[in-house]
Amino acid sequence: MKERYVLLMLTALGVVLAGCGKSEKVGSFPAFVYTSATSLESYRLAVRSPVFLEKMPCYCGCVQSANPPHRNLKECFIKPDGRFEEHGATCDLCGKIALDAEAWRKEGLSLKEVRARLDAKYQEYGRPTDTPPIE
Amino acid sequence: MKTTLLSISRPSEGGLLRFYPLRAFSYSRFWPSIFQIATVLGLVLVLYFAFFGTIRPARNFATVVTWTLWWPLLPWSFLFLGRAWCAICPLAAIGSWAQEPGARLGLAAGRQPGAWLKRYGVWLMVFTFAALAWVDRTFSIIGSPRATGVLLLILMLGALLMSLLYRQRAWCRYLCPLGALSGIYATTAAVELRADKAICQTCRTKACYASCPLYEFPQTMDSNRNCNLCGNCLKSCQHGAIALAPRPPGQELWLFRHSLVAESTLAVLMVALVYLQTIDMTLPWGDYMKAVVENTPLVGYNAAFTATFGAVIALGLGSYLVAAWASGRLSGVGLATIFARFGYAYIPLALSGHLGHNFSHLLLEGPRAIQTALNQLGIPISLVPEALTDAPPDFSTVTVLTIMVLAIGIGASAYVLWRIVKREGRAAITAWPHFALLGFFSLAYLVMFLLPMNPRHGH
Repeated sequence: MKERYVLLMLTALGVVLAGCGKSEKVGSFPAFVYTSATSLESYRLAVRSPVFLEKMPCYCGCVQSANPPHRNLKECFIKPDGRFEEHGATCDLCGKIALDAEAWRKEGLSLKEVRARLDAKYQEYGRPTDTPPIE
Repeated sequence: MKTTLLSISRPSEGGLLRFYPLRAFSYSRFWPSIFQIATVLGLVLVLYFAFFGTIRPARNFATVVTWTLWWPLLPWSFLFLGRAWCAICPLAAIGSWAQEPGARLGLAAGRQPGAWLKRYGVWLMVFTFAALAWVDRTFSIIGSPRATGVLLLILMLGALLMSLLYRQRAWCRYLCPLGALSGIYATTAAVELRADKAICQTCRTKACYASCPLYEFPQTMDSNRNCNLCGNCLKSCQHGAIALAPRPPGQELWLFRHSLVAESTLAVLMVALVYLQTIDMTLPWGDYMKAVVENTPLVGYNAAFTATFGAVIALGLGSYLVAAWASGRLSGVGLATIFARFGYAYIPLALSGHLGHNFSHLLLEGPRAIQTALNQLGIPISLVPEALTDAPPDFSTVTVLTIMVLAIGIGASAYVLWRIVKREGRAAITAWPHFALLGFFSLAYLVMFLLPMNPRHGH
């Protein structure tokens, strides 16, 4: 009998945890976006704050591997023609960079400070995109 | 000890211990301690790199060794060596080493596990293992060296605390999430350590019981679930009554007498968890999650994933409950008895799915991971041919291997089901609902492993 209570408690816990979503619903994306929490949140951020991500660099190597080469972090998620770019969903780094940048911006850091922190944290990954410095 | 090694008339010199090197190894005081030292040193390295190494998971020693090499190889060890990993596990070793100095300093209580721990221990393991699977996916532990380090530290502290509270290894037996996994999968092993019960009945010391780190009594032990092959019983037995023997893999699944509802639940839970951890790597997963996020109140990915996680587990366990109920109705046997007994038949399926899931990690990412680990340690050798790191086996090769392993697992589960029915003298109709459920689970696995995988590239 007690085993049944344990099963019931586990089920209840699952239901409670299922309600723990904190994101707001922002538009619709292609299916490739829905492959991880980081991917979905970063595409939502790209739609919400494209200008912010345009000022931030990406360090994943897309400056060399993407065709055409990406010029900033926004282009990992949204192509210059406005369509969604699949790269941000298949790369495990772009989303992390975008969400870090957003978290630091929410902490109250200026764009320049966010950029400096990104450089410090991610420069070991290699050459960043040729994103103009923030004046 | 030497006379034991040289005599040839006792069970302990039969089976695999007929071979002198293996016998000498099993009786050696260096087994398992020398391996424990090696794995503890490995753990120290892993923790160092986890917290002080590069943040790039694909280049960090901690993440590549833990998740790309050790984790995919571990299930293979269960198949051939049972729970032997638990004997050399660094987390448990640190706890064991702390017990004696802890007692001297008055820090170790050295208690016997209480009744509640014995009664609910397996349930705690079921919960901790499911929780670990959920945490891994939700917080992407494998994609973060720091998170990997934190997880290992938490497990290490758990093992240490339990070692100070209780004598022997209460952590491994009753709480460790990996212990749950290894205990269940060790039932499929091709070897077993067993005692000659006729000799044991003449024994007055029962030294084997006192020496067993997992509180097993070899005289009554009929399963590998709580045997880590540490050899303590072998060394302490004055009668040479204990032998290490080969056997048909998984034979105990239909032979052992003590089946538990909790362990049966864990076995079916493993089927569900392996499914969950693979299906979210396939291409159609994105379509499914898009539908959930856009058409339900679950707007966050983790909320949608958690709901799916709960639903798949509920579906797996619920359908097993229905199969057990139907089986009970058809045979006139109580639900609890059927539920407790037949769940073990699904273990080969879960293990084959687990091995299949790990094929892609091991074969596609393994060679590069070995080279990365060597590079991180500053070892300037090219152990892995460049051809393998640059062009690992293609995905179709991996899929063929996976389906082959899965087919063996499905066949083994069906065979175990049949043997359980025959062994217990039940009507053949008792097994039908379980054959139907096994067919359903197998079909779900086959379809899943044939789906195209989601392309991802790590850094």
